[in-house]
Amino acid sequence: MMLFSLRVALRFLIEGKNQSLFIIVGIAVGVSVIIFIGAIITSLQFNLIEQTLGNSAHITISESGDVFKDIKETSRFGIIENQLEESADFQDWRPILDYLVQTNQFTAISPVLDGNGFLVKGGEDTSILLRGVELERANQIYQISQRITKGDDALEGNQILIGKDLAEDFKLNPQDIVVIALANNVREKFSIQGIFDFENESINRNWIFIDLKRAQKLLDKENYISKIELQIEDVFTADNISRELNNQLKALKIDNWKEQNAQLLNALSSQSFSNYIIQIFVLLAVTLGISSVLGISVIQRSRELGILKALGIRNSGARMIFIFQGGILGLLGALLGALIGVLLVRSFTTFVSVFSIEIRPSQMILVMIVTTIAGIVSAVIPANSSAKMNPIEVIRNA
Amino acid sequence: MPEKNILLEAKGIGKTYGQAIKTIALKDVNLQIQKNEFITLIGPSGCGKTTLANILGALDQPTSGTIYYKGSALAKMKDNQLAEFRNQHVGFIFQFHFLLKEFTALENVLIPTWIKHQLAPAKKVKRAKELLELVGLKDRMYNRGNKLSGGQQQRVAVARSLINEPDLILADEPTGNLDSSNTDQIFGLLKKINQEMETTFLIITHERHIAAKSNRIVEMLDGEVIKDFPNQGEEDKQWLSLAPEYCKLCQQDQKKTVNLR
Repeated sequence: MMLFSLRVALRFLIEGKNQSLFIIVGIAVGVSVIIFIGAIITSLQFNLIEQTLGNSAHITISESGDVFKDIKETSRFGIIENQLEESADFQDWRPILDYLVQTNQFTAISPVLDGNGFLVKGGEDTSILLRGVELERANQIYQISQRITKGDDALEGNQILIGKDLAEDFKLNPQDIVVIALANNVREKFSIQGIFDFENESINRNWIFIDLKRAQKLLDKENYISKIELQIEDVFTADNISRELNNQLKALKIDNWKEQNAQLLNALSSQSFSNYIIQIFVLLAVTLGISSVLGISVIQRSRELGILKALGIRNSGARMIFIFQGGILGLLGALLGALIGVLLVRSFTTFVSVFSIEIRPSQMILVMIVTTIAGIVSAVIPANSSAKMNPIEVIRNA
Repeated sequence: MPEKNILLEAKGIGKTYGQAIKTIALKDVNLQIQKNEFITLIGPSGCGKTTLANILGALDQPTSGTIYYKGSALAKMKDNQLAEFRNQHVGFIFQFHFLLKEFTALENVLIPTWIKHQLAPAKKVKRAKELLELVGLKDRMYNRGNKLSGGQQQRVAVARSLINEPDLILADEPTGNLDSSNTDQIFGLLKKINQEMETTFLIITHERHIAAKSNRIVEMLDGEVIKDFPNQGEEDKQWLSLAPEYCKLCQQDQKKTVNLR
């Protein structure tokens, strides 16, 4: 019970309200910088990750690519040639899909069969990637239906969806008919159902979506798929989840985005590191600020402390007066700082930003807790000098 | 008087200030304070009265000698025990009315209780109000410490010294700032408390008529107790007549103090 120390601390803070206000504003500026920079960096990273990963698989499951295993497995089905050539398509994927659905770990699960080919139109051609998908499942990753800019998203029979850039290159419109030549010498006519825009030139120029069943038929790969594409809630757990999957699905090859994007990860972590450094230095400045103000306050209040000691306050009680002051200053500064931080972020989003900045409540609460602790820590030295103060000095020098 | 009635005892108390240049403030002071005594401590400025009072109240430590409170040595107590001793067994009234300016008169009176209990029980709040009424500050109760005159602050300090019902009150010129009618009032009050609550008083004073009202007079000079006698009319007169030198000093002292203020 240190209620009396708290009472004195509050009274001291109120009595010296100009001083208190100054340091609170000082702390608030520091805290708002921490929150603002933190929010920008986090959102920047979030946007970067969203751009990189939003429309791609976080984890893909495919055949291991082990040629001998392929031969062994596929020889049972008599399609050795194909397997050796593309070495990654597999057949028994339904139970795997069911298993993945049942784990509840994935926000998107989409089987895909890919095949290379050429789109031919009016004597010209271009290489394309024909992607057989179940539209509903593919939408979970690619949001194809929402990205259709012309036509619609129906995928039945020989209906296909092509990208914006491909459409422009060949001046194609919905309902136009194009010929696609596939690797297995199949040439078929297809009807363009819709044109999508993935905001990615390479995808817009290369990808053509078609119904999975139809793709299997065209590519002579009845029941086969190339891979299962997965998305998860927290992209940074991709490596852990893929490790777990690897234990469950030993025969298959599990890839995750982290392995494939080491450079991006490196950039993100150095960015986070510089963010932490800035935050630590701002916090240090805040701590030193509180400490020096409280240090002066101990001297200013030495008369009062002398009286309190003469009246029997314990050294621990005298110490707590300043610990409380530090904590209260830290907390109030953090609250005001959080408010300023939010306003800064709001105005930045309104007037400057090209990407949306979000402040995570958890991050704000953490900053406030840390600042309050910093306030308490910064009060330790002043508090100790108040504990050591000798009342007789004060009374003699009055 | 029987031993068991000794409240506080100073044995061979010496106090030296300074490291390089030593100032001797007290030399081998021996003093026994009985329960319920009303003692005045007199002597010229700088003779060590305040130093002795501070040492008796465990605010200061002697360089040599020991203080015994009800038979136990203060020197053996830890800081927290000394703080508790000051809080519960001693009431201080300082020469300069030391109030906390951040708190109201009532709150200042309650501080010793807050230190003891963290929160003031209702009956203590009631008692604090009574004490303020007793010192004539009923309508100044909610004034801040710095919104009171010197005399008013001193009277708040008197009330504060009484709130925890200590055994001993050490008052260093408690009426130094007050006019004569106020002085008489305060002393009447202290005397009343001495009789009704059996509180022991040690009062440092310059004023002869105050000393004359006490039942024991201790006189100090140059850090030593030179006289210590019960004040029973006859001897009082004898002392007053026998000590013209002291009275001169006394008056000079008072002038000096007045100038300082």
